[in-house]
Amino acid sequence: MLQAKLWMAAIVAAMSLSSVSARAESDPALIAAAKAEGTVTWASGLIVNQAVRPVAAAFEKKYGIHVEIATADNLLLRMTNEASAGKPTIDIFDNAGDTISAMRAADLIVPYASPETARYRPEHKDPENYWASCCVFFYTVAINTEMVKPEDEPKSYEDLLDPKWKDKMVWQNNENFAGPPSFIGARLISMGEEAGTAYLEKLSKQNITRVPGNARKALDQVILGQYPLAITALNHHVVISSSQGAPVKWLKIGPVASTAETVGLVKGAAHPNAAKLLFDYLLSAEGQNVLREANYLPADPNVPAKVPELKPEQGGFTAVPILPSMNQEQLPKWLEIYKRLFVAN
Amino acid sequence: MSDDILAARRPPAGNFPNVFKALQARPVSVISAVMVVVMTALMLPPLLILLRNSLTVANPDGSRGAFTLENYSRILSQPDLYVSAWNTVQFAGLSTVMVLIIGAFLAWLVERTNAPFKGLAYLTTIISLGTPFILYTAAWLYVLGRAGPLNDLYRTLTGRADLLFDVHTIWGMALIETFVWMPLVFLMFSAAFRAANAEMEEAARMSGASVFDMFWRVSIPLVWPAMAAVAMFVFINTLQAFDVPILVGVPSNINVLSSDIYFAIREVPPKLDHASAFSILLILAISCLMVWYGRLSRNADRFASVTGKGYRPRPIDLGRLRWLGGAFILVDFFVVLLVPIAALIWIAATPFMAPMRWSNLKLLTMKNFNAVFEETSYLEYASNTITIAAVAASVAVFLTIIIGWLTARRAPGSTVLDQLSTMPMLFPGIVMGAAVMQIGLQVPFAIYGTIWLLAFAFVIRAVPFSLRYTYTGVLQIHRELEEAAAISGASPLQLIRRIVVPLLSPAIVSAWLFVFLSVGKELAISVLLSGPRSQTIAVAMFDKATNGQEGELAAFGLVWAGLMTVVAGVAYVFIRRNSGAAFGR
Repeated sequence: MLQAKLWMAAIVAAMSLSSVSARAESDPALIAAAKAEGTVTWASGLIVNQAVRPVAAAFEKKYGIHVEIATADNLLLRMTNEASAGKPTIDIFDNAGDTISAMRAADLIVPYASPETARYRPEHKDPENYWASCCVFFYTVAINTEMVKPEDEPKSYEDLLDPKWKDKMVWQNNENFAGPPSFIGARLISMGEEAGTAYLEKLSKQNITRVPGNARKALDQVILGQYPLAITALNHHVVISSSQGAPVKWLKIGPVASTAETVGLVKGAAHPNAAKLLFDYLLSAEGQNVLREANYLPADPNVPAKVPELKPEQGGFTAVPILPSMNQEQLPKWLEIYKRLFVAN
Repeated sequence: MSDDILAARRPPAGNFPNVFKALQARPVSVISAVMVVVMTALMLPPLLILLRNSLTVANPDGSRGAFTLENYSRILSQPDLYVSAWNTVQFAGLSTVMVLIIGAFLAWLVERTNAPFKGLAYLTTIISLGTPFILYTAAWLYVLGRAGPLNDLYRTLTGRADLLFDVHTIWGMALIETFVWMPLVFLMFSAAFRAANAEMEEAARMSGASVFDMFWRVSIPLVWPAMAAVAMFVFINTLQAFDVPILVGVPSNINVLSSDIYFAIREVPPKLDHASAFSILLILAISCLMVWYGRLSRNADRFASVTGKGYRPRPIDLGRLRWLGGAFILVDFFVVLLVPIAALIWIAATPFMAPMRWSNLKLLTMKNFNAVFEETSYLEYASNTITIAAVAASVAVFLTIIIGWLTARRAPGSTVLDQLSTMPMLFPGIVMGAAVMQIGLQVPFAIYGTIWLLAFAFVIRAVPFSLRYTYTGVLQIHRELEEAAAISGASPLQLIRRIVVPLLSPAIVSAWLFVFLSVGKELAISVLLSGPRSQTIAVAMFDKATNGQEGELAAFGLVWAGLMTVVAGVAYVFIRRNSGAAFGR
């Protein structure tokens, strides 16, 4: 029965592949095996109705494989508990946080060499093939244009030390790479340990207000006019709001911290092949275009953002990649600096 | 004691199996024993998991390692422990006092007097209970914030650049927490006032007491057990609350004891062990408080005013003060409901967070509402949520009617029952969720990922809340009614069904409503336990909250609160109509 299904699937797959394209394609055997599994459970940290459902719908249409969408809240807690009970329910996941490195450290994900990753930048794929990035994020300085005159706009990170910014700046109180630690990391990496630390010490005297919540919450404080400047705002958030009339603008003060939404495959998953196929699809030009339409910044270097200047290649700014591996090696140190300089005082 | 009375008249023994024999011999003990078993089965597994998690090292792959006391020492050695402790006491104390005074007075006005606009007080309560917590707090922070309408207006009027009100203070924290607890407190007191016999108030009035004297010397003492229960309850809950203190306090560096828990939970992976240890410490501390509280309610019979004598409460005529009372209800309606809802509507109807100004009216859009209505999967989420909420509310209320009666009557084992039932209140939502998840994964039947596991979690979650309603309700019912029933040959179960339940109906309605409406709001548990096919409204809200779609979140929350209000309103009318006979209404 399964054999027959596999054969049928293989034939269908072979037929659909009749036109050979220059683009990377998933292995026909993988497609057949995935179709035999028939379904895949995907936990995504992306916006469900704007990004996840469109990707799932396009994938279902292309391969006829049903996508079950699971919630990505406390993903690591959920996945580790399921793993230790031997009942993994999630096949594939993506997350902007440090879930991927924690899952790797716990040996709960499997490697997969996707044909799609060949053209990706080195910082957006794991050398051991345990993960790849589907979208990228840039943490930039954003200002309220009603509160900050053009001549007062900071041009460099040094400018943030000006006394006029004291008590006027916000950032989100996230103790991971979605908040100040990635900014701290980018300064230490780009300026060197010594100069970076000296800079941060001076910056801490500026009394930056911590906003509980995510990058959007901190940016909203600036849009609302509670504070004139956010230090670690996501540039695509700024553009989404400013295109609707919000008095806000992001500044190309490089190098900015760059993180990514990383995709991984769960060890012992019920639908390993369908998961691999979805992995391929997310990173394919087709999948990347769906994400781009949802206002995300595609990690594929060949797919520009909806507003091209949001990515360094087209925008002409520099970025420091904050890699998943840095969670283990650098995060504790950067977090210590954050707590010592910016929380304790 | 009650056991002797109730067992006094034993039906003739027949050839029943042992259980029935026992039931006939000492019926209350048997019911009590059954409830202890049920509650132990419900509460002990999460507690044990909590204990284990707090005392062992968590391995990265989810398994447990060696014994450790590190989680406890981290809490007790956190920097500025005394400052945090003092902040906590101030915050919890202020919130409790404010919410008690306002809530009790409001409930009295609504239930006991002829003040106008009573319906508004119920509307306020039901809608604000149905409004998700994260939205409610966000709305208040928006209204009271630096660039909020209040401070904006102040600056426009005075031409100054400073703030009229800084929300990021202990007072701001306590004020928002007061608003959050208002519905529960109001519902609890309104149940108590509705059931309390009005004869004494009438007597006070006839003897020439002023309305104020009567309120302080008769009305309030009559609901003293409810007062003590509510005070305890709110105080304990604010001790362990971390959402409001964090959201309001962090920008001003105000820490409370539970702040640390919040950060531990937000780490990846969340340090639940640390939060578990905090819960265990709280349980220990609060057990002491419970002993004191138990002593307080020992002579609770003094407060029983629902006796065998027939009575029909008449509303007290406030005279000219009637309009002052009405004004108070209007202010409550305005402050607790209208202002935050207006803020939410504004947030939902603007494409980005815009200050509330005339010049921004041109921004208004239906985009966020349209996005909500276009998404068909929300129907499935809503039906899942309503099913879970109805099941959890019904089961929890059923259990707590019996437990409430047993504890109020000091049946054997009632102390244990009370302790078991209070415990889950002290588990932060996510800690509870994680414990239930581990239970769901380890039981041999396939409950993990279904809505039934969620319902199970919410029953546990709801028991302490529901119990406060039923327990204080039973305290008001004089034993003489039950004694009469027992002497006439009623079994304890008959007695509960025929005497206690009808007389308790105001408390039962309040408890059911409260639990039903709370389930839709509790995000942490729902999101953690939802599988792909058992997603709830909380999942959609979480998605919007983490992805920064503030406007859509507000639109979604408003639509949801509206739906819950309708459902709760229908349920309320239905239950009251069917139970109203007991109170002659």
